Amino acid sequence: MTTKKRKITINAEPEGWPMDYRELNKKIRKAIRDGYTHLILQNVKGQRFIGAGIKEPVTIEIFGDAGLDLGVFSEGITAIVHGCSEYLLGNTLNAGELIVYGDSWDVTGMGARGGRIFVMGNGGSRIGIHMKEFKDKKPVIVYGGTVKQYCGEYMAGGMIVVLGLDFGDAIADRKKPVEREDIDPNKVKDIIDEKIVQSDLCGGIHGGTVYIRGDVPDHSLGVYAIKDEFTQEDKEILAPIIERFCELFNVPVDLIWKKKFTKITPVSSRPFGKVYTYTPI
Amino acid sequence: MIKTNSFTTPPINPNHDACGIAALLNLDGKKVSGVKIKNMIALMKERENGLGGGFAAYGLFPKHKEQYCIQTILDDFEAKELVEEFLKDYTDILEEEKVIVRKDVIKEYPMTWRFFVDVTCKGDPDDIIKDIMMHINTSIRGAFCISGGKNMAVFKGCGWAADIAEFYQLDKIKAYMWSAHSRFPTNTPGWWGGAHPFSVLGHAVVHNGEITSYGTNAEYLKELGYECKLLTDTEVLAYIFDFLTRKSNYPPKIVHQIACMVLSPPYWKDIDRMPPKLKKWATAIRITHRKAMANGPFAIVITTDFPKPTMIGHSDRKKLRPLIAAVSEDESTFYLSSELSSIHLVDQTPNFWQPDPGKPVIASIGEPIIKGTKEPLEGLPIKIK
Repeated sequence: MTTKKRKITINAEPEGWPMDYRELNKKIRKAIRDGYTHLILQNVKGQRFIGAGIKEPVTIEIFGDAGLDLGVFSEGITAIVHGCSEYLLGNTLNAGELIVYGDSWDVTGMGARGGRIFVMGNGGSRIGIHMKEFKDKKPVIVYGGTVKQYCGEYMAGGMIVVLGLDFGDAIADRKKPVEREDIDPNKVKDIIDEKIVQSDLCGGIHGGTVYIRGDVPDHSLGVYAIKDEFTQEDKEILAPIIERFCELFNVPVDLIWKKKFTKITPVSSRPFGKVYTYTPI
Repeated sequence: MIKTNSFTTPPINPNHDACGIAALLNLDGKKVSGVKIKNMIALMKERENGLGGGFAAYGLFPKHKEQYCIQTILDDFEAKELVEEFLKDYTDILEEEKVIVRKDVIKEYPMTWRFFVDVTCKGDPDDIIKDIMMHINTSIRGAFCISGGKNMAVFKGCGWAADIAEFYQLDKIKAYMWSAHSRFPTNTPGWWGGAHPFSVLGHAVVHNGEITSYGTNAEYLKELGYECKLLTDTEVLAYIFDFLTRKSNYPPKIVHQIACMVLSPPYWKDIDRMPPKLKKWATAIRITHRKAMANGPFAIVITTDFPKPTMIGHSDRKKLRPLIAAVSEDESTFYLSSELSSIHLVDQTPNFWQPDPGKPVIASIGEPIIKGTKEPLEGLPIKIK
């Protein structure tokens, strides 16, 4: 037996031009087959489908901007992006942890069925659309910054947390890939409530919960979503997730609890039950 | 005899959306070659399928700044003569030239010819040029006018975007404003005339998505004297924009905001919550230009030289297509792109953001960028007569 290989670095821009995503994914798969468990991808520039469908519990560290569909269909990878991730982060995610030290825009965690997604920065529209849960499989999406309209649309399970934190001043050099050590915990600031969410929050939600750190005006709520009381029980559910977020992004835990959370839940588990009539046979 | 390989006639069988768009504007007016924009669009190769690519460039002809540059693609010399004869009736052709293209990039290609013209007949010269463009596209066999603005030109064709850039040798020309498009046609055929940017006068539009309100918009435009004959939904955006900016007499300072608001107006529920003055504006715009509203998913980049060089990034109200904006660290260049990675390929700027749904990002030379995020109708509070 050869010695156990663990770490490998793959350069995604070997000849001055970003590699095709198919080639990169082939290299990733080969490295996993060869027994590597920690993959470091350098100079990533928008290559899509990184870590797609991978079942092995490997760590993929990405320096640069990951492309669309990072971690799609994957079951247990840990992906750490030191940069931004484009749309569809964690599309139909089954398990694992996706961490982004930057922004990740629209349709994050679409139809996710498990796993956890932590994003330091801002999100776009339709975060966690059609997310679902079953028994112990509960997907969690945490955004450090703000999100746009239709967050948690048609959500059927799991949890979305939006913290409304501004990391703008906390990172001294934003030109290089951000790592945990680059974040100054004393300079993380709060964003004003009006900017944290936009309209149609949880439109058509019929399962799961959304926690917004700050007040949510009634006109921002989507159809069949209501504000619920934030209880001690909720705090206990949130605590381990907040702790993990703070550990990842070097944020003081006390800062998070300084502001009140708003809990948003569905009106009922079948909000559209009376809207559609039975099909006549 | 019916010609089989015409470049200027739409194909009968449509080929069967994920277009890529990229654009850059040098806010200091400095001219750059097309290499940068080519790299930006070439990175997003996954967004195209080789059935259309195009570029719009501004500031190309300092010698002929005051003349309209009618850029045409032609099947043969016969078509060129037809265009020339037609142009001579209404304009004075100061100069004409064949656009030099590379022969080794694309297998089959038409001839590209440009005419620098001054309008000689009576009437608004802009209107006459617009009508000339429409006439060439609809009535002259074997000819297609791809742009007709001042000091700008559109380069487009059927092929991969990077190949189109090589084909037209964009690395050899310099412009202060560039927009690019790589096409993945879904509902409409992929052909030379159907590639983006769509241009009328000094406006050029690149578009990712589809305009489902095409029928309503086309009908509205017909009333206003615009004929939609190019079999692609994007052309309505170019004409609506031209009508709203050039013909509607809105104050030049806010004309771009109004045009963007017409394309994706705020919802009535949001209008209800607006301050009184803005409410009045928004209501008036929604009612007046009801038929000019663009429905369906779209992300667009509009480049225009009216009233001054401006680049606008805009999306539909639900943000169903991607668009990222960025400014270089020294605030000299403004970027728009479908994907952040293509901006980071040419500039590692930390100043990037996703524009808000249905709100434009407007950048003009020598003016601060209007993000349209603070106030939905920023710049609009003006008295209504």
